[in-house]
Amino acid sequence: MKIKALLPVFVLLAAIGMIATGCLRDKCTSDQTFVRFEPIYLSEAEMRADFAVEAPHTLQNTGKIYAYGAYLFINEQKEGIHIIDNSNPAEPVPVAFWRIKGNVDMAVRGNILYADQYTDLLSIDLSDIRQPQQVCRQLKVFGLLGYDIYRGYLVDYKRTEETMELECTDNRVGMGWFMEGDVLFTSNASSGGSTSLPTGVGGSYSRFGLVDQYLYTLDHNSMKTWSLSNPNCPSQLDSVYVGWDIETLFPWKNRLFIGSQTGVYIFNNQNPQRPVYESTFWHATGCDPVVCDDKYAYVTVHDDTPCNGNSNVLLVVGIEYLPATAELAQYDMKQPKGLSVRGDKLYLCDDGLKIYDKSNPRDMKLLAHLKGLDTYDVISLDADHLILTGPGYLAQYDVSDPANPHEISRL
Amino acid sequence: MKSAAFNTMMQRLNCLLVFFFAHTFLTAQETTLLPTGKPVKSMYMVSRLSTMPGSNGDLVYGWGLLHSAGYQFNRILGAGGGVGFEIYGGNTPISFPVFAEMRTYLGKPKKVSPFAVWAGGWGFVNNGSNDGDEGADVWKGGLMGKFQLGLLFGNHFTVHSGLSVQAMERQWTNAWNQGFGTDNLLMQRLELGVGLSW
Repeated sequence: MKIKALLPVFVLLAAIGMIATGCLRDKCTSDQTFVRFEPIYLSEAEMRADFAVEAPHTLQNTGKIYAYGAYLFINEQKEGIHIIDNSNPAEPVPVAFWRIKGNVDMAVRGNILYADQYTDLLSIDLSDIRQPQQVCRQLKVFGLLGYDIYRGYLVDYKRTEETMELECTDNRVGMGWFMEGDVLFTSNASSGGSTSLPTGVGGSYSRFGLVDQYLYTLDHNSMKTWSLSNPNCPSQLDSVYVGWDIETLFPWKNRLFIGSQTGVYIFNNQNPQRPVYESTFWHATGCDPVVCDDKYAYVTVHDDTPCNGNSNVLLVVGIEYLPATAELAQYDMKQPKGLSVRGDKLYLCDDGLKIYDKSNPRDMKLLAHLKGLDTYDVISLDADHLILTGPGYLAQYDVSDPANPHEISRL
Repeated sequence: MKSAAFNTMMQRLNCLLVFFFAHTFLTAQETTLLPTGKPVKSMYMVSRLSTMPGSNGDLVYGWGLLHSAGYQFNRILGAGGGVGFEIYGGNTPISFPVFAEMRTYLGKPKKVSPFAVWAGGWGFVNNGSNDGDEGADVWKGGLMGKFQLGLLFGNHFTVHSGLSVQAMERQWTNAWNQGFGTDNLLMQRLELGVGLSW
């Protein structure tokens, strides 16, 4: 071949290649996992399905817990309440399952159980715990998520994870959230964990609080005060806006501590009919159960879904000189959740169960650490007896020797 | 999706390669010298500098410097391997390809001798790039492939044109909304360059 013959061929090839560059586009696809929230609509009849007593069910997606005499009430998220006879903590016996669709929270005073059912507040007479009776229903107490004239009441979102393959230029890539029809997608899929949010009596996740003859309830952004002068049927006294994403309520003496994703709101409850805002302690974004003793509030901040944020700490906040608050100590944690205090002990769900000596809250000493447990909340029933909750289980511990806690039963 | 696109591209390159091998085999004549002036059954070394224009929506230019060495069994078949670095632009990290190659000369030694090269291997990447407003990215390399047609002028100087593909993966997190995802990239570029062969 001669140069004169080769050069045009080469130039032609190069030219074809350059023209082809228009076709030679880099390709990019993005695999992104979103949390998909599919709305659940119910008719009014379904939403207000009657309270019903059923045979015991298996614990599955356990929520909040309440101790009532020798009984434990364990919420099954959005389904109802497990009734456990805990006369012998070493051998708790399931007694019944009370079907209350939409139930998440509860509180007991006297012989009356107060429980939410989607938007309503139910009163259930426990005088005969084997034959409970619904004695009152307060309508539209709690905020409704939405209403569609064709589909009914929007009561919840079914949460699933979905991985999509998108073109990198797709607007949805990297978005914090977007809607497709009425389905919400969010990018917050960091934990992939359960959606259970357990709590209990004296528990740190509760949204119901009882003080004397008053019941306090939280919804998404407000706190309602209820008089229990007629215990069968509470009457609403007050409703006060607190803030967005409030999560937990912890009554302590004449104060109400309300945990939100960005801080702890403190309300003065000297007039229990009209709690008034007193102070706020701000912290990094995250879910934050809070418990207190006389001088200190203990706040866990964790980054689990759907709490956002990226902090995992236990904060000790001075509350002795309210309304002034001050962060006195911060302890790094793995992913702290529920906590409980009794005497000079602090019980904390973090990478299992941790027991601290909080005699000096600025320098707490770790007494014991039980690993290998997936824990959500801990409730100290007395100095020797802990109830620990996690996904689908409830365990009881003897902590008479706090350095060597041992399990006495598991359900 | 990434592997499907990559496989399609590789199949096309392989078809071209088979064509040129067949053409060369049919037209080859025994000779004791290679176009580089070296005898058959000898080592070869090649360095080449390429520009790699393409598009990722916008026009992007990459470039790379590769060096390879191998053994030329005869005019038709040479085999070797090489290393180098390539920059594809568009916020992608530098790739460090490690590859095997086959090299053939298309015709008897002349003042200007055409040749073809097929190369395939793995492009390793550094991990130092991110989009700025997002969290840390983790880049991973991927398969790479090249097909080049070139001209050898005299015994040493070459020019070449061809196609280059390089797969990469980017695992990203978004510090603002805690989203995360995996981007699968396939750079498909025209390649034009010059080189030295000895």
